[in-house]
Amino acid sequence: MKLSKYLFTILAVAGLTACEMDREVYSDPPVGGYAKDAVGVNSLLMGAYGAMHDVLYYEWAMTELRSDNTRMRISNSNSAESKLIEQLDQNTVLSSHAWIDKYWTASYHAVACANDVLASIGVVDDEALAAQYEGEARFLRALNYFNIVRLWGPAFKVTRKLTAAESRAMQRVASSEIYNLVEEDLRAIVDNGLLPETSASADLGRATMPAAKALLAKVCMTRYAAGDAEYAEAAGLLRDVIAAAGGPQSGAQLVPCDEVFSIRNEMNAEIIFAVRYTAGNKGLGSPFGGLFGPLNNGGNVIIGSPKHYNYPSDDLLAAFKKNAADKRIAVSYAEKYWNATTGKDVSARYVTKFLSPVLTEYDGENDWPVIRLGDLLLLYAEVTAELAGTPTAESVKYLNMTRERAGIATYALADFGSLTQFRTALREERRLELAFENQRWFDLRRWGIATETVNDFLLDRESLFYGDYGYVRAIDEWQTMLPVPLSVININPDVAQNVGY
Amino acid sequence: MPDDKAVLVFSFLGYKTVEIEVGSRSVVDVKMESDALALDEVVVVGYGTQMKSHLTGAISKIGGDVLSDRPVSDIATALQGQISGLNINNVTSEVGVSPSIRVRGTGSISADSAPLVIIDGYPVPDGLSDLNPSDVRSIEVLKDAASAAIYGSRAANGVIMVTTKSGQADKAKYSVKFSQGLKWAYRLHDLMTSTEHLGLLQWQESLGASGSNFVPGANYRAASWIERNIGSTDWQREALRDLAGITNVQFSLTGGKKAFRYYASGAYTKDQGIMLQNEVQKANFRTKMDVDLSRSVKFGVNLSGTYQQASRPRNNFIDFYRTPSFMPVRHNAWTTALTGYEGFARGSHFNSISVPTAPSDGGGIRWETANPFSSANNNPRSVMANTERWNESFSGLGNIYLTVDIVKGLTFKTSNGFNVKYSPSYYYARKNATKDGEASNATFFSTLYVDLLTENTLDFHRTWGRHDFEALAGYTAETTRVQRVALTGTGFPTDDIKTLNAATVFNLASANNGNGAGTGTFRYPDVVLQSFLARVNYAYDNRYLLSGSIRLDSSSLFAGGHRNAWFPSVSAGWRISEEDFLRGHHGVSNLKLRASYGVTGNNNIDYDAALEVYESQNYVLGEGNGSLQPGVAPGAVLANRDITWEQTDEFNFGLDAGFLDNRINLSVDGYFSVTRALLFKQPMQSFSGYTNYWNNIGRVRNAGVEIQLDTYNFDRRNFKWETSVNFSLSRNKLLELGGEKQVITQGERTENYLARVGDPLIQFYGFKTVGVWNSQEEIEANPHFSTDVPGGLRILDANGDGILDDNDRVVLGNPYPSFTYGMTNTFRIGDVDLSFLIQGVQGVTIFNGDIYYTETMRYNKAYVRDRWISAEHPGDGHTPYEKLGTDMLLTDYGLQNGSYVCLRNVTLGYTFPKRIVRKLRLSGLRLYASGNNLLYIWSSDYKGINPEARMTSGNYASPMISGYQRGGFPLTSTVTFGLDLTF
Repeated sequence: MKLSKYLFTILAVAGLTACEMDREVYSDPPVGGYAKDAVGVNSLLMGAYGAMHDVLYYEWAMTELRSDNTRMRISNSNSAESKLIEQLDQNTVLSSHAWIDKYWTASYHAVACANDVLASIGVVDDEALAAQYEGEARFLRALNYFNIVRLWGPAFKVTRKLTAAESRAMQRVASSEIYNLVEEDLRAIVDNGLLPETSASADLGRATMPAAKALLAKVCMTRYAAGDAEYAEAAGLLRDVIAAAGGPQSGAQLVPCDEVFSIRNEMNAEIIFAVRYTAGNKGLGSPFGGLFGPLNNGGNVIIGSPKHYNYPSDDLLAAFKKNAADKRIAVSYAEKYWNATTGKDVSARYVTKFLSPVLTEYDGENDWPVIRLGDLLLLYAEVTAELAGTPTAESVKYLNMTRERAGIATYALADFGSLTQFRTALREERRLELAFENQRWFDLRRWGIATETVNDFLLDRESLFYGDYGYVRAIDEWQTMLPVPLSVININPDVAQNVGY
Repeated sequence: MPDDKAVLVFSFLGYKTVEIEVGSRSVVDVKMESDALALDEVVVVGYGTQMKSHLTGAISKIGGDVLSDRPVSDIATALQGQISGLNINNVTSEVGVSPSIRVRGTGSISADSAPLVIIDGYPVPDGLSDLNPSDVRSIEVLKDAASAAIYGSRAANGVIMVTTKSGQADKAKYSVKFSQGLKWAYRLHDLMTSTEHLGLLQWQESLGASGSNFVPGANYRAASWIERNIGSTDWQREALRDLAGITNVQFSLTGGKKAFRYYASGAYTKDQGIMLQNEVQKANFRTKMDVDLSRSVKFGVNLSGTYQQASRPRNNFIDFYRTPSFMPVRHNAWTTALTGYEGFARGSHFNSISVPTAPSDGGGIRWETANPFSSANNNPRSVMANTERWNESFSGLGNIYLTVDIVKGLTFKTSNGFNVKYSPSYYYARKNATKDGEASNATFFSTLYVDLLTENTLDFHRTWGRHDFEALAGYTAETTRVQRVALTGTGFPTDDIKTLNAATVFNLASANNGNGAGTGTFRYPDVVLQSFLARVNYAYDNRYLLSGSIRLDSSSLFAGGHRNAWFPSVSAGWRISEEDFLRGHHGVSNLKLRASYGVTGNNNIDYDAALEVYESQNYVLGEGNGSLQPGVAPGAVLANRDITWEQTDEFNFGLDAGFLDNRINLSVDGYFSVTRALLFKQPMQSFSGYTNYWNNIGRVRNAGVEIQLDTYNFDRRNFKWETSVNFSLSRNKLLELGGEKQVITQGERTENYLARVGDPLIQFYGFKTVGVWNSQEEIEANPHFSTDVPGGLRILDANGDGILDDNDRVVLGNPYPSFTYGMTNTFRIGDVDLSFLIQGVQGVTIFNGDIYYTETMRYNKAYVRDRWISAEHPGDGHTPYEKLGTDMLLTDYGLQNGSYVCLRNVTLGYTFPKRIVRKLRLSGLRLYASGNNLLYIWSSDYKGINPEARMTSGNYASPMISGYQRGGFPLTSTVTFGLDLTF
């Protein structure tokens, strides 16, 4: 019958297009989350390291820019971006500040990535590997919380994946509780030997035991005062780390100045822990050449349109120039570049420490050293002097090492009549050795001199520049803490804001 | 009955019925007149048709004829102002960018509030832009939930149904249409030249102003000096074509025999935007074939294809009007001598130039160094010249359908089809194209969209005496999949080879599934929608109407257990004019009351809202420069497995009335709806590691009134005048927000948007300003921010606690219009026709993002006039100096009244009389001229150039961010001349 023929056609067509509802991709996520074995946990861990790229992107603006090391390039610029920089530079930020929000989000995202690793450690069968992964994740979590607590004080303590409702109800906890978490993570690594002393060559860049010890030493010296037992602990930790790094006894035994940051000499003996970048359009390039390079250089310094951020202050340059022979000057910054088109020098001041030629904008090779030997030698000099209550031969020896490497005059113990004099020299030395490495702001806070230093800088030492503003004012102590981002208060108005904001 | 008494009655839809006594004639010639006053017509509804007189929901219909003469390449633009409750907004005036379409305001806060577009029964996202206007027979808008509920889960934003023309059993008829139009920018910003700006600064200095922002510094002197030597460049004009054009050619052929009917058409459109490099070319065909296989079985094929090629400049119009006027497009001999550069001029070329300055002591000329324009970006004309950006798309829609009359009144229909759209795009930038030192780079990106659909319905229609009964049952299933390919490469050896095979380095995949630059293929999980539907219509004596429908949808977008949802509706109508006491009444010739209730849904969410998504986040380890280590990290959006359909319950009450033999027709609809379980991408506390998650939260209420009034003012043989007026008003209110009192969302810049329970869905939120700070003393003496300076905006201490902080933020307004309206008048005087369409929006507030740009605040006269200069010269007291002080995007300073009324269209046509047409061996000939957007009137409060623009970049295109205008493109005025031929 004719009709049945049609009906058959209809059913065949309909049958072809009928659909299956239950697709595999919509089935429940595997129990225990993404990672099913050690390889999965490792990829989560790599993600956690990778998350540090977002953290570092604006970290200079939260630290160097707010200190007396760098400032905004030109005064009184009205562009929206300049306003953001101006506010950080002069410590007059509002809670709506976009970069603070970005840094905050990136830091906590890095914490969440580390928490993800810790939550799935159970699927790693190899015990040694499980311990190492746990140690690395704890190290990254501690590193981020150490930054968060130093910048904001009280913080949100997140140690596992939160539901939306949990995060909505969450409040900040006291700084001490965050410091406890940081110490707990680092002590777990040190006490349980979670991390290896060194990494295999293919693994260079992973956190190691010296990195954890160095970070713990820094935490101890930041959280505690000279009278505390934990403060004294830092000396031993630093001794261990310096010994592990070859136990140099003089500047000559250190990696030379110009090789510490060289892209041909990455992960050299100086580097205890670095956030690693690589060029080649892999999405893993260092952005700092593009961020700090001189504006409109016509490709003579670095291609693209560098932002010229993190502009070295007159005051820092003056400090460097006290010793014209200081090899660190050439490593740290430049004041001119050569224009190959016009055949002339162009004067421009910019940070060179993390600058190397790139093929694509923001795709530099340079790693970012987070903990390096120069920093630790000076911390050791500091801790020995503070513990003794007076400079010692040991503390002067360690203070001199980086100076010797830089090719400038060294101190003798007799040069220091008091601890205060030693402190002044050490603080100056740290400033120059670690210039633009995001250490200065934390150092000023650790020494309790952030407010006075910044005011002295804004109103006196750099007044030639800031005088142009007509409205630069001295800051108050509360302005050394960043505000909790407005986006957080927007969601939960009950979240406690820092004083003054 | 004697043969010669026989009366033949000719009736045809849309024509007056003619009764002719046959008499003894064997051939009867009938001339049928079109019946403008006819009340009844067929209206397309979901999965069927209905007589207009039997409608119980709110459905508006518009005929295809009003669309075909309009000089636009996108049909949606022509619908603007034509239908009540349908809001169409040209968010940008670029061609190739579809306007935003909203039915009955905003009911949802999910990603997309665009209505469902159905073309000949097939759901086609963005379908309107691919249509040839001449193919359209009618467009129906299903506005109320009861009418739309048959489309269930996707109908909450309303449904637009397009029906294309079909063949008629007649000898072949040909139709050719041709039109050619010209376009220009309606208005541009009034900007100062560099010299005018210097003059202003010098004047300020003479008033005693001080500070580098206020007095003519070296850079400003340099800019003016250059300009005086080489002349100024009007950068806004540099962005635009001298004359843009639009060309339309359309051809159609229709005809057939009794059992075989066909329709075929082709169209070509070339539409240039007013901006350089903005152009759309579109070719379009459609063939439709209907075959009666037997008395009871019919078969049909509907195939259409569209090929489109579009190019858009890489630059925004903003890039042009931010460039200062002293900057030339290209260096000339004078600037080459000055800078040492040739070719396209760049800001960086003018760095560290030596310019003469006249010292105050009157001595000879001295030289000083200046950097008059420190932009790192290349000048926008040079960017245009060195980049190419095009995209192509091919879309094919095919549908095969078969109907079988099983028994009398019972029909089975199956319709099966595909909708495939492939859209590749390519971008190439030469070396140094946008910035100095930039390597040449190219990006290829393509999307393949495949949608398969089967629809199977059983329809039963029977009339017993006064009972008219219709029932429908159906099953449909649809699968949609999207696949993307992205390739990004750099390192081209030469700019002569622009294809990616010459690239030496390929960028690795970035996150976001290939939406950004990267290399890879990305396949999204298929989305499956499976549905059962049913509907019953009943009419008693043409007086009492009753209708009910239900649909069950299951969607794979949601996790198991949350997939199914029912969407019922009921509606009723009472045709009072059919009652004895009104029947045949000439004064009140039609009167009908309607009431309906329906439930519709919305599943406009990301494919991964319920899925745990990890994104690639790699790292580097190892000696030397290290090698790549694959890594993953949780994405920014937290999965929520508990989400389900958003549902809207809507009541609609309607009145249709016709007076004076339907010379006056009035249709009034009122609606009230509550949307619950709102699908919302909610901001999440960023310290959790996630920034958003999808959630079903809260309820929003919408209520509104729509009025449509059509009158036939004159209906004489040689003079006809028709007027059609529509008016829409809608109000919304957030009733509940998942226990939260409010949600604040940050926009593209730092501006904030508030959704607060008890208020309109979205409101502008921030600081209220009370003028401008006049002095440092005034600042110190009052509550202030650390960023406050004289000449900056002064913020109101709204809570009066003596300090300024985030608690001083208040509601500043909302982006919703008070009402919208449109009016069409059509005159026919003899063979001449004239119509004009006026369209307007009243009581709408815009956040004008122009204030974000320093250049706007510095050079745009609208923002400079009467501003604060110094304590002695405070201007009008509320205009700040440039961007001094607290961030003005946090305040109400950018809020402006965006109300407007415009002459959307005027068309003047002449239809040649039949006798002339016959001599030309044609059956019809018409010439016309048509003008679009020839006149705008807007509030003096609005400081931009396009009150319709609502552009914001993709990342911020959230429904929680509304009313932001980021530097609009100029409005486009068009005049077209056209010719319609039929033979």
